[in-house]
Amino acid sequence: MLIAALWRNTLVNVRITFRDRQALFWSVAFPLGFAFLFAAIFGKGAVQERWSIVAQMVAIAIAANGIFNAATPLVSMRELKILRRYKVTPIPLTLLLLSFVLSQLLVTILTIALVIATMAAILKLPLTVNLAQLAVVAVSGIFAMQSLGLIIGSTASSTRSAVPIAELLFMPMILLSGATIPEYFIPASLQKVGEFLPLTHLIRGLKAIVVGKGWDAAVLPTIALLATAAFGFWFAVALFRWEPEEKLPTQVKLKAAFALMLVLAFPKISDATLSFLLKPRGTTVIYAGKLWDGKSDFVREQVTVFVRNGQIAQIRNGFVKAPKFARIIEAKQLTVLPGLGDAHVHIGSDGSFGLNFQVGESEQEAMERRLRGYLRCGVTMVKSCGDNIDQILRVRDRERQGLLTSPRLVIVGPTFTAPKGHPTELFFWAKDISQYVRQVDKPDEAVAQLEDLAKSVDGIKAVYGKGFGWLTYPRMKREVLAALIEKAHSLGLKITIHTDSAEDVQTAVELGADGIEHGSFVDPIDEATLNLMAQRKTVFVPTLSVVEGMRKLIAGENFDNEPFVREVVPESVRKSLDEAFWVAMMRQRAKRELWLWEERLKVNMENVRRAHQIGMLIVCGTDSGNMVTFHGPSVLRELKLLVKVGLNPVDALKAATSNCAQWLGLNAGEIAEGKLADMIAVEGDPTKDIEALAKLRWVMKGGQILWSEKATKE
Amino acid sequence: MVAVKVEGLVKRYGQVVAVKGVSFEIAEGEIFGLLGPNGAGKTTTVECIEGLRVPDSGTIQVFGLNPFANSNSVKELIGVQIQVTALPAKIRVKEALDLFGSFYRRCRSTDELLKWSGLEEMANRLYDTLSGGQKQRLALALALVNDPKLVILDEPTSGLDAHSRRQLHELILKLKSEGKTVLLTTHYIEEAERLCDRVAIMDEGKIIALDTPQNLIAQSGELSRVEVTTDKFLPSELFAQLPAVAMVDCPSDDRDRKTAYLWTSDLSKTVPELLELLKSHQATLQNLFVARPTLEDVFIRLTGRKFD
Repeated sequence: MLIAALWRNTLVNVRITFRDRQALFWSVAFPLGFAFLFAAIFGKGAVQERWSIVAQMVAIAIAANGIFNAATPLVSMRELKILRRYKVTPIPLTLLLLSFVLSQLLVTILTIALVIATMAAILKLPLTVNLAQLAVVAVSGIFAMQSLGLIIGSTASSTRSAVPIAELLFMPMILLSGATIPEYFIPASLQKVGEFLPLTHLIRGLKAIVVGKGWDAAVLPTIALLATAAFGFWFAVALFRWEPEEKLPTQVKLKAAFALMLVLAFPKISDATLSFLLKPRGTTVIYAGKLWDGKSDFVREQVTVFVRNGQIAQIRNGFVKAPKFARIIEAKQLTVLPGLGDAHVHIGSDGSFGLNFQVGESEQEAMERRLRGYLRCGVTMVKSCGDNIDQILRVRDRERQGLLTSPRLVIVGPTFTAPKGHPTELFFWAKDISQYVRQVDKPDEAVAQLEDLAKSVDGIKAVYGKGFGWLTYPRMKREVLAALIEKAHSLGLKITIHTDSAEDVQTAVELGADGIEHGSFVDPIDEATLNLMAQRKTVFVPTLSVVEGMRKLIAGENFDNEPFVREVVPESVRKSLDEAFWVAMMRQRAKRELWLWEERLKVNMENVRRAHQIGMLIVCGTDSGNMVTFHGPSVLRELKLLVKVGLNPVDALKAATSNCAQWLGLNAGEIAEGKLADMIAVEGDPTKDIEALAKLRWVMKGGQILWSEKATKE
Repeated sequence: MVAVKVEGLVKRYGQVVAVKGVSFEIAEGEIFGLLGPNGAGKTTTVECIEGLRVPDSGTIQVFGLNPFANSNSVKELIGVQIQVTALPAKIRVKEALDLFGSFYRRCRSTDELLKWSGLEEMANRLYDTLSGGQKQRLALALALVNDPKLVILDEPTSGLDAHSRRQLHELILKLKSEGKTVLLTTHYIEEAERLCDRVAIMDEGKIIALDTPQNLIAQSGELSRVEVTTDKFLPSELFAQLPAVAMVDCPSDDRDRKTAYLWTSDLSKTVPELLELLKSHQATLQNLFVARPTLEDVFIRLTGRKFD
């Protein structure tokens, strides 16, 4: 009987909606109109970006339908005393409210189906999206929004008072969730408010599905939405009034306030719970046909690796029988080696000029996309060498909680430089340039800022150089650099220095820098400095890739054919590099300089060759995020360049594994007992042919497979 | 068996005491009326019985059950037509009956109810296109979807035209013939007199009289009124001599008005003699109007106020 009543009331509500032209306009026609508008305005860009717009529209339709159309029928029924007629029947309140939710669910599903179909037709979108997953997120979202609408519907005494309350709930969501205004324009404090809004989670979940991030990225938002739905519904039932005159007992009000707090705190609670749940447990056994451990000069054959609690527990010769309940990974035809690292990246940009995010994603989402790209290329650790500090710290914290599909992330703070020094010229557009660069002219102000940063960052980076070619800028005072190095060391932080010339390298090394970024592209580093570096174990991150990228761009060489590029780099980024008018201008202008770039690459390659001969610690870093140096694929480019310099493949691989982990301060980069289980498996033997890295089969971080060819095929 | 038992019912709204200690019993199978002017506390009383309002003190039993402790059992047993029943504007008649029927364990078929209430032709009409009388008949049909033992009707004919009211009265009497117990509130005197087996007259939150309409009138000692018009003026002394006549009003100063007003304690004695009187004075009877005392007269007598 209860089910029959629920079903009948749901159906009647749907029919009533369809007979009421006004209700039909707001539930169906209005969102559809919006969809047309958005499709017309933003209907450009790559497939994923267009799908993102669709996701946004779907989210807006769900929110509008949920909040307004769940509230108004109930309120007008209360106002017109229709609800009293229900009250004298034995129908349970929960059932009555549920029937309203279900009927709006049906109407909303129809609406979003129309929105998707319309937009897909206008935007000529192929159905690349997993509709079942999309439906799960959308339905969770509908329930969440409905339950918020129901709270208003349960309490408001007249339509006239319900509409402003609904607006009050709806407007902040629309404005702060990234549904209409990109996150970039929203101040950080308000972004935090956005974290608490269900629409933010809905958009996040829907986008995760439409851009193909996979189900994993949508799980947390979906859980958050379902919890909002459950709490909201409970809240609506507790606060329900049959008649406008009814008053609520204080106890009920208190309960309701408690429930509301739980709903609002949910994103935080769920983050903590989920990171606990996602922590790897149990034993995984890997049967490796070949294994290179990240340090040795040889490859072992037929090895069994035991992984427990995210760490490598044991390594044994031969294929040893796995314990019961262990997860078994067969890599008998593959070579297993440590996950790769990139010690110099700028996660905030894509490797083209233009926006630092794609239409339809927030800056933070763009960062997360690039980080996933690294995993796809076998990279399990990266060092951010200058990004928007607040944003990147947020990303890093989520990564460390285990909530992000991302390589391990190490952060140096904003780059210290001279006033108007490099890289201020790249951040002329920034609202708050101190997020990226700290311009310091005096030792004491430099030290004060460093002390403040030390609370949150993992290392420090400073620029000590004057530029070269047509790009020159003021260099930091020597005493400022000295003070920074001294302070960083006293706080136990490693400090690395961006240099432009041999002279810069010499000064930085003499002052005690822990690492040198780039080295010199203009002149040979002198013998004494190299010897001092070797003696002090100063790390050298030559970033040959970024110069190779510039060379390719200017030469107009194809970069799409580098391994992984097509898979990892959005189409629009690649297109913008070929189509932007200024790229053509620069090519025109720089064709004359092409030989200069080739020369620069040669100069630094020679520096690397000599450094290697002396036995210096060379670390793979790409400077990705600069033009044509893409996040992920560039690591293989860098390793190939190192091999071209004269390193044998094993030494090149060390630069990206054990050397890199040591430099980043991570207990990884090696396959040895007690190390973090960050491993990759490739076909072929990269210690003989570095190109074998392109034939990546799976990527493991902390004992969890985060990418595998098999999973992609499924 | 007792269908409803109310004892010492008190209900306050803030400072206002709407019901001040009301007690009554309704026997199974009778039509029991609560009659009183607007604001007398009738609706509050029935809403307490329906379970819509929680009384401040007093006890209520419906077929021996407490409507708050056994709310759902009681709701299954009673059918309610609340005052000013409203339904969603865009619901169809048939849908409304189907829908409300689905809320109960036991329900009567929609076709049967449509036939019963004479709404067969309206089955597919939207609620907002029905006339007032049709809406009230639908409300009554809705009160019967669960085939209840007790039907509570709160001002069922309020605001209806005479024709619709008569239709509704027939339906309510039909309920009684089907063996249902009916509790109805009204502020229409003739409705109470015509429909109710017993009537409780309420005023300012109290029951001031409770009996069959006939007994109430008889006990009140009120006089029947007789208006008689002839073609010839007759002096009032002649009328005063008639048996059982207590009072005569014969406007003598107006020779054109040949109407006399008599008040009598016994019509059966007065009227035949009156006709004899006219004959003996060769006066031709032009009009004769007899009014028995009504519950309104009872109310006026009890409260000293006019019923409004």
